[in-house]
Amino acid sequence: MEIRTTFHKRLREIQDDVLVMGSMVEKAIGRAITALKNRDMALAHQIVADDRNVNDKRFEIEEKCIQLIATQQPMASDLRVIVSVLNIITEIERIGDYALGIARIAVLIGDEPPLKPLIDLPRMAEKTQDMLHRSLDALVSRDAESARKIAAEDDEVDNLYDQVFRELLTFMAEDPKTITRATRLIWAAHNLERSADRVTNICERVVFVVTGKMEEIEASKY
Amino acid sequence: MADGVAALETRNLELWYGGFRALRDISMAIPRTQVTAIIGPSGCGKSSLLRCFNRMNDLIPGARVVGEVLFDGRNIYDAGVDATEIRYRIGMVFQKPNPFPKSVFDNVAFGPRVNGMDDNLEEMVERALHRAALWDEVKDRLRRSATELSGGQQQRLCIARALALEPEVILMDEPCSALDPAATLKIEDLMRSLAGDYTIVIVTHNMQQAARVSDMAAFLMMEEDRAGILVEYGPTSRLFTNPKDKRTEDYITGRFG
Repeated sequence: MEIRTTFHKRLREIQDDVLVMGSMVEKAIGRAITALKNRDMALAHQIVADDRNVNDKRFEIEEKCIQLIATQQPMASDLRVIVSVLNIITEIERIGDYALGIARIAVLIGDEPPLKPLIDLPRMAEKTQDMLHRSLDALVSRDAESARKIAAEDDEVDNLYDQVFRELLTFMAEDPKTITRATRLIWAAHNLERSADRVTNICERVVFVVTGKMEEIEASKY
Repeated sequence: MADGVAALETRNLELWYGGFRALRDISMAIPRTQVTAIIGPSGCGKSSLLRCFNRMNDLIPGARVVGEVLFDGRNIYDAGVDATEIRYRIGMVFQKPNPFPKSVFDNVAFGPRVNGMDDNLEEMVERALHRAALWDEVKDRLRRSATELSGGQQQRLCIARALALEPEVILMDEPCSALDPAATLKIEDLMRSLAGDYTIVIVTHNMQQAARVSDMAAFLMMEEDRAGILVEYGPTSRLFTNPKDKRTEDYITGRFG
């Protein structure tokens, strides 16, 4: 017989909130890359403005977690979920900041002529969005196996990052006039690379929720 | 647990009340000078188990123990063991404070007097009251009746009364259930200060209390035949954050009770 129905309902609501926050940031990554690709200044400014909502959501979830700890004395897996959520929302919020960073880069680039069509950057973004989405699914479904697998996929993002970096380097080597534009694109790629690393941190937390063990997943070579 | 570290150890302990088996196959080692908490749902046999540790169940007609309770390497249920002596060395504090209707001093002096330990009685009483963190509150009213004390003070007096006999182990059966939160926290604080010198075993319904005060925690529950079994026993820090057994997890997270 379930006894603490109210408490467990509130704990589920918190996890739903985490999914909502995750999807806000997932969307922000996609829109930031679109803004960069299409030189869409309005969209870029919108992303900058929307980041506030992500931060608000984070504080809202944090407040709910603190309330549950203070009033419900969570134990065992419930305690691990709450503590992990507190960590995970920090990671998501930071990924949101990286998306914001890309939007700012889009504003910086403005209407300079495009250096090249963007192909690998959108692929990095898609992969990162997918990893973020699935890591939060793994949290909700308590799937440590998936979490470990998702963290391992960070290699793909790293490889794309290498590719972007090498390619832009050749542009710069050939024509020093491209250095400013190429460097900005490297910044954008770096933001995505870091975002995927944050997802591996989320995966570590998911493993902790399920197993009770803190294990460092050293997926990233950066 | 290595020899010499356990203060008390049960081996395949069973407790019967007439034809009803209240405890089945309890094997656990209580570490010396630490606090061990016993938790579990109502009726699972927590208090029955606690009473096995100093043969308090002897006083219940029809109660019978099978298996062993080792204290100093000796089964306390062996023929020839003096139950009264065991109870001096393994003291007990109960749910409701039960001071004698005597003065504060006489309450603490009672045990030593009965045992003919009445040299330096004043010193003995003062030491016990100090250890029970009660001295400062009662030093000017030692000759007043113990029943004038508050509930929390009375419970600390009962702890002082047990300490006056210089026990090695103190068993506490729900020692705070009749106390307000402030008095409860004082008793918990006292338990922590006594650990290190005494072995304490506490039965509590209050999981947070078990989590706060104990070094080791044991989770008991009832099986279908209503016999209490030991589901999980381990360090408190692990039991409350990452229990191994699903039944422990379900109980401490309130998914059943």
